[in-house]
Amino acid sequence: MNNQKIGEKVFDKEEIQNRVLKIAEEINEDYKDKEPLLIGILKGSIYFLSDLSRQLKIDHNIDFLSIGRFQTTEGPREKVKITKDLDLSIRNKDIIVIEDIIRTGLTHSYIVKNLKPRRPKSLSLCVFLDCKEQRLVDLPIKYSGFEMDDRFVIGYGLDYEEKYRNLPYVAEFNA
Amino acid sequence: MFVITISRQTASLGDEIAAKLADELGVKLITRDFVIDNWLSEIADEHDLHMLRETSKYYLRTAQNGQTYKEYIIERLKKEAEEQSLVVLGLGSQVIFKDYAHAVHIKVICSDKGRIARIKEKYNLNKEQAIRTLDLSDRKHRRYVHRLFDKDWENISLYHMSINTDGLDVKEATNLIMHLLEMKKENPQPLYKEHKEEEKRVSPRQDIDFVHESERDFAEILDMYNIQWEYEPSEFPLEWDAEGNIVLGFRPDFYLPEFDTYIELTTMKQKYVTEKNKKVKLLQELYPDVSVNIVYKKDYHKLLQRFGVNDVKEVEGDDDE
Repeated sequence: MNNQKIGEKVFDKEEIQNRVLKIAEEINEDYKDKEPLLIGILKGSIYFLSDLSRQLKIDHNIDFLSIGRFQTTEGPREKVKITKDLDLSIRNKDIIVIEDIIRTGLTHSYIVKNLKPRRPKSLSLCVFLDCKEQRLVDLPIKYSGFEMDDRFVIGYGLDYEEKYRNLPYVAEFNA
Repeated sequence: MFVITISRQTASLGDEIAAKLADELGVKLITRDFVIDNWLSEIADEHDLHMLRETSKYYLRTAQNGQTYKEYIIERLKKEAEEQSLVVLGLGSQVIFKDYAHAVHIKVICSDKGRIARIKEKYNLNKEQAIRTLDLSDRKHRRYVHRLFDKDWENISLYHMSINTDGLDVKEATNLIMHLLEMKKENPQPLYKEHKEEEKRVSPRQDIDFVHESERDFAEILDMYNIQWEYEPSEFPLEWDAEGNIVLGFRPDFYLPEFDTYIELTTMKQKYVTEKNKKVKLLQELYPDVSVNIVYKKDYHKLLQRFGVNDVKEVEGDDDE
């Protein structure tokens, strides 16, 4: 790992684990008589999802969704599509979409638009880092780990060219 | 919610495919028998029900409730489709739901040879009797759709997909349709409006006289995410003179109807940005219910980099933006 690229720590391991525990407590309370399905958006959410899941006391299921871009010959140069769909049905289920970071919200508006017609009982978002200032569209974000500014950060699932996801903390990236 | 309509030639396995689909997807199957037994029986007496089973002409008659049977079926089908996903077999449903963005229309066919063999086996008929049965039955299907909806049942442009069951069994055909359904869920649009919508999405961007190239790039990002947008659709009056004439207005660059949100790009020089900020502030004071998001130059360039628009790719992380 190129440590020179790892900049100043933004959130350390302890801060993160404390915050994850708090979110888990909120979810335990909000969904106490329910069995939500946590949908992790690959790949950034895997660390957040696994820590959060282990802190939950309620019964819950886990599934994953992946979004990718592909070239088109007509119209816009690239289009977004689901590259790995859910294995489980979400019909009549309480859904919590787990994500590492939300900036403009365009990707997540696409995800919400895709999931809603599958008729879940409820649909909310749980995001580790919420860049509210960059938001362009409203999203049903119910749980948020930390508010984040526009710095480029790595660690705890966030990558630079697929690296640094495994850092147990969040740090600035030295470009 | 979605609707799968199945139109089928007699003995083409269309009935079996519809039943299997409904079973696999866990959704309601609506057939002609279901409609007659459960819906039409509410507005028709025994004689009417008998005639409805016999002749398509009878569907154009006015029922006890003042509607024709055809109108009643259409109304009930559409109401049902609002409440739950459906597989609909026949009934002219490919026409009824032709403008329905979440509908998939399937035609199931088979060679005469294959159908005759199935009819012979099913009803223990000889070849001539089987041919006659098929001929009568196909004619009834064709007449029903033509009489009630003025459409040629065999016109393949009424369907997303035609399946020939000569070389496919029920399971394979069902899987094909389910696969198509998954694809259409990602990009729901009505069969009939497909070309028009394509034109709407592609050509206006080329035709629109964007003030700045940055706006064209932003439109490209919105298209990438299949987000509907309108370019400068409204101008908000901000200041009036003593006589009430508008002296200052503001026209945000984009409107996103799905989010009821306006977007303003501020990618120009700082002195113009200050002026624009003033306008946005005024707008928010005068129209507190209007949601406007401003994208500043610095954020805008980061956005372009992240989305790879204009081949600017400096910082690459996940696809999350």
